[in-house]
Amino acid sequence: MRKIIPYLVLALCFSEVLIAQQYPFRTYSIEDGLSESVVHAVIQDREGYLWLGTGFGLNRFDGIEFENYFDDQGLNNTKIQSLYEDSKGRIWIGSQAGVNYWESDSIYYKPELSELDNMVVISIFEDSRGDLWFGTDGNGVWLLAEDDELFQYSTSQGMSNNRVRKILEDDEGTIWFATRGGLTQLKNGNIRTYTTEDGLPENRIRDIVLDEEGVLWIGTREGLSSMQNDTIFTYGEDRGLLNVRIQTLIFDNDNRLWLGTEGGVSLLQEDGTFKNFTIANGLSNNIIYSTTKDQEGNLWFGTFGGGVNLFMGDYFENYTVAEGLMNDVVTSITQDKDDNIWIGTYGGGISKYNWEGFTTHTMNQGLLDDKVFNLFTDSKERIWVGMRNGMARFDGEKLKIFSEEEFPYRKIRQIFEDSRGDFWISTYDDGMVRYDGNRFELINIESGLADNTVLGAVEGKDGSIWIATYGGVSNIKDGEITNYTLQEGLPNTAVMTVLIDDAGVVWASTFGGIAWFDGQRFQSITTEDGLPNRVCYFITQSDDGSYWIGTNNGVVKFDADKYFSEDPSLKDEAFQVITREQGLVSDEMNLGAVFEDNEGHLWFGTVEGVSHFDPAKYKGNPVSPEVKIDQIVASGRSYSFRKEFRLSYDQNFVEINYSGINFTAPNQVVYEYKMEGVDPVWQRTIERSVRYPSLPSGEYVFKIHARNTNGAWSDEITTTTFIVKPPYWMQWWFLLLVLIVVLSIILLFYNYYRVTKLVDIERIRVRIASDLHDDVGASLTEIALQSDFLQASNVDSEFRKSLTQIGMQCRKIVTSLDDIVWSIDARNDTVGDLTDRMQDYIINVLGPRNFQVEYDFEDLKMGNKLAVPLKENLYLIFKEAVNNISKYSNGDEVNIKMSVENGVFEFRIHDNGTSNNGVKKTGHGLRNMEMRAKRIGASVDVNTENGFTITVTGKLN
Amino acid sequence: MAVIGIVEDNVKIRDLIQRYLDMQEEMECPVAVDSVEEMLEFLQDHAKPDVILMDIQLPGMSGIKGMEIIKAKYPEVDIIMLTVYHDSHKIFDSLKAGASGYLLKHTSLPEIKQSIEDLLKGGAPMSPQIARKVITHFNDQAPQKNPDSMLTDREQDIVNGLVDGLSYKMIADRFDISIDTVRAHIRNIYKKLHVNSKAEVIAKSLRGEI
Repeated sequence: MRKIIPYLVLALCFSEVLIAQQYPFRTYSIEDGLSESVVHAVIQDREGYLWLGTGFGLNRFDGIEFENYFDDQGLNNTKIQSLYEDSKGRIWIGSQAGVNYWESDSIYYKPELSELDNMVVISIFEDSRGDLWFGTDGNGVWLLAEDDELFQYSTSQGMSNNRVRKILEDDEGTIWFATRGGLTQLKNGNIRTYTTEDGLPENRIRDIVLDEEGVLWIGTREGLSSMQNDTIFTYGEDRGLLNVRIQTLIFDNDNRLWLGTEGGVSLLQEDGTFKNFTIANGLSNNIIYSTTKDQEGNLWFGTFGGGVNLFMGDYFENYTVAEGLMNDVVTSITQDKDDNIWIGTYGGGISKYNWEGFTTHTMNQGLLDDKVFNLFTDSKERIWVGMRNGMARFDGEKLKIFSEEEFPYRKIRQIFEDSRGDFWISTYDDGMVRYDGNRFELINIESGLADNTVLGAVEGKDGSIWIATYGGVSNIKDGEITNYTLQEGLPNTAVMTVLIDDAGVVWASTFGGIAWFDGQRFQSITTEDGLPNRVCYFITQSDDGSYWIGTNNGVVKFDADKYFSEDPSLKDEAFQVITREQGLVSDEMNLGAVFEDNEGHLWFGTVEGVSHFDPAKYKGNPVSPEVKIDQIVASGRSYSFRKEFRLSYDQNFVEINYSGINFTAPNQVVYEYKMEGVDPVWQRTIERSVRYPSLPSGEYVFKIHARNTNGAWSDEITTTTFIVKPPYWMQWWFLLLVLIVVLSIILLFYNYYRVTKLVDIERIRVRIASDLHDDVGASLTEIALQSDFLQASNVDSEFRKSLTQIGMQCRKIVTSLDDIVWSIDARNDTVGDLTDRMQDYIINVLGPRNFQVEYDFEDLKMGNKLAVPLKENLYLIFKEAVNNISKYSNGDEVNIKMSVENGVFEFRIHDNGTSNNGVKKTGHGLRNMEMRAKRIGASVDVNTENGFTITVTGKLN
Repeated sequence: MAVIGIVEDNVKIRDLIQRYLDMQEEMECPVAVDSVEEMLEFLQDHAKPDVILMDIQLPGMSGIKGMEIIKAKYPEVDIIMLTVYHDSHKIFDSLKAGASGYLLKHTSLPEIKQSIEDLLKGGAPMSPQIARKVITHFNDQAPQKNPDSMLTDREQDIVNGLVDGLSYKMIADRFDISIDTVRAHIRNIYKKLHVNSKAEVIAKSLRGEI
């Protein structure tokens, strides 16, 4: 769009003598994402976003992308008329139907303003008391006081008109209203109106501004007026104002007043005259509706149908075919003694610019070739022309052609005059030709030159000639040629230009960067050192000492002091790129196509025209961008960066979108980010989002800052913090649980193993005993029964006695086996089982002996379990004791007592027998009892007083 | 003439007991088999014995199960359990299953004969171990049982006496009754034990547990 419009315009204005140079206006309209091309209001908020109210929709712009808002997002009406940011950061939106406001990230409606719902709100203002004023189209102005009370000021209250287009407050607290019926002043509660009767050129006022000195500037339908102390002065067409229907007024950073009119943009210059900018100069539309100044100092002009125009300054003036050049491929620029600028083009001959218009020298005017490589003004003010097919020279008006006979070399790339007056003519294929005015001397590879393709020459401080060739740099000093190539430090052998700087240092620009000569060899500066582009078509130095390097992607302003500075942070600022974004006519330069004119301005020849550049006016981009994190998307869900948030372990695909708002050169913003714990060092990118595909769980701090084209970094590093929660199997409680479970399982296995082992042992014990009992017992039983059977037959008494003995013995063994099996059988493990068994035993053994047996088991809990060894040993001790009584006691009473107290048992067997035999004979039995007691950790006590008492004490467990 | 049957898988022991009992004037032992199944077969078409000596561990059906079946079909047959173990649990289980007494296998032949005679006279042996189990058994049953199946006070006294280790004679002395009365009471206790156990079995079979 930006490119097309000038062509169309030119087609219309072709006949005009005066040419209009292009200024760096940048247009944003529907094709860029703006909701509509009629921009009624434009402001920048404190965060840096540009807000644009259009005929259809509200837009928020961050330099790259437009966010559109319509009634779906809460707007009363999509036709936006006015925008204003109040002191609280709320953005007030006046529309065709009342007022909305934006806060944080949503559009709100204020019910207190519902009276305005059917009014067109065309101006909004917050006064120094914090009260809000809403100017309407036909309903006067409404004041929303702090207590949300709404007051109306209209013609009934003395307003000059009910259509209020602008409201402002001066230093004294006076509120001024620009209305369709004059200027109304609200001062100390009094309303006063200024009209044509007071000297205004017109009562229909569109805009008012105050300058630093308190002068009120008034934009009317009939020109610009200034009012100070009730004195009104008007600037109109007589001062060069292109269109007197003024729509907007704004001061730039240099306190220059810019007017948006119905015929373009006009600048009130210091001399009181106007400089006008129209679509011919790059504006997209001549009818200006709105204006604002951004934090970077750029001016914005909202237009009627052309979107919004960003004007970055008048440091660039561009000339193309549209402005009168014969061809856009500009290869060379020079200036004659009358200050005319000569522009050589590749295919269009020479265009001479007298600062008003172009005159042309082509083959039609006698030039040898329209493909001009070089224009050079020599010390005699003659202009040399190097062409693809020969060489010519303008001696004043007279054109001298060097014939092929006189000068057989055709492709002339550069002509240079040394301090002795000798000319050095660089040819593309034939080497260097030295011309002293009479004789041509060829210096080529045979002579020792680095290459026959020669592109230029300069003279060093020592009078030696430095020559750029495609084989490196050659130096001719006192007839000696020294060549410098890759070995001598050049980044590339194809050298396009050489330069001697203020300090006499030799510089070379090559296809692989630039290099400077340290006296011995070249030191290269390449993209690795921060050079933005490797193809360097030229290098030159301007008055202020800056170096200018022409590349495939704009011109690089190189600050050698910063580059060689000790401070590494300054190195970032050493290279500043100037591209189309800043107003350069094209990003692709031509070889050697740079010229510094007698005012210190630079001319850059490109493939799409020539740019005239005033380095003094170019301030670059002094405001560093602040980075805003727009949103964080984790696995498809969006999170607000405003507060710390947590992500689950499987939401760890994180995308962070951010923007560093910069309007001067939005595409040259370089971001540097670092995710603590992920990125070891700062990462650079020009992308406005970064993705982290699978963040492990942990706490993250994302840091980011940005650099503008000047190399100025954000004042603050923007940070956001979030947490990726560990999966539950990584959380402490789970790990603990797992640990416990694992330990439990180990314990369980251990116990199971131990228990099964014990059980196995037990089982084997029982089985051995049972088997023994069953087999041996059965056999013994057979024997016993056999003996019984035999006794039943007629046998003599001796034999019967033996048989009885055999039977008894067998039964005794069987009983013992039975006792063993019983005692180790875990089923018989209660106290009751033990006492039952004991009683059975007593009945069997002592029953026939007429003992009075008393049991004292009162305290025992019969259901309690006894450990098998305890039961077994206690029973066997008991058996031993009862057997002793049976065999040896002469008493008739037996007392058996068992008691348990606090886990300690006492087992006492007493009989009232007094025979000494008992003591003696129990010797073996007692040892046996002691041994058994020991096995269960118990002690045995024998008392022979009052009979015979055996006491066993021990612990239950 | 008392008719005695024997179920015992140890051939030698079985033969000895059978021969010994056959030798007795007032006893005859026409059947001595080594499994419950054979005994049941015999019972189908022969005169029923008065007493059956029954081993517990048998090939095929166990002695306890066999007792249940025999007692169910022929309640008038008294069964004395023969066991190698002096194991109160097994003994009590068999008593519940219908045994009227028990004998250790190595009990002398005259004693076996004596026990049979005692039983036929209406007595039954009960050791303190068994007595204690009887008390526990009836206490556990107490809440839901009808009074008929509960022990009478006298029966309770007798069982308690047995638990205290008193002999039948001592119990008889203590309560001023004859030893035969004690035996009769004990026999009755066994019967109640069978009834309870049967009720238990029925309840279990209704619940599908066996």
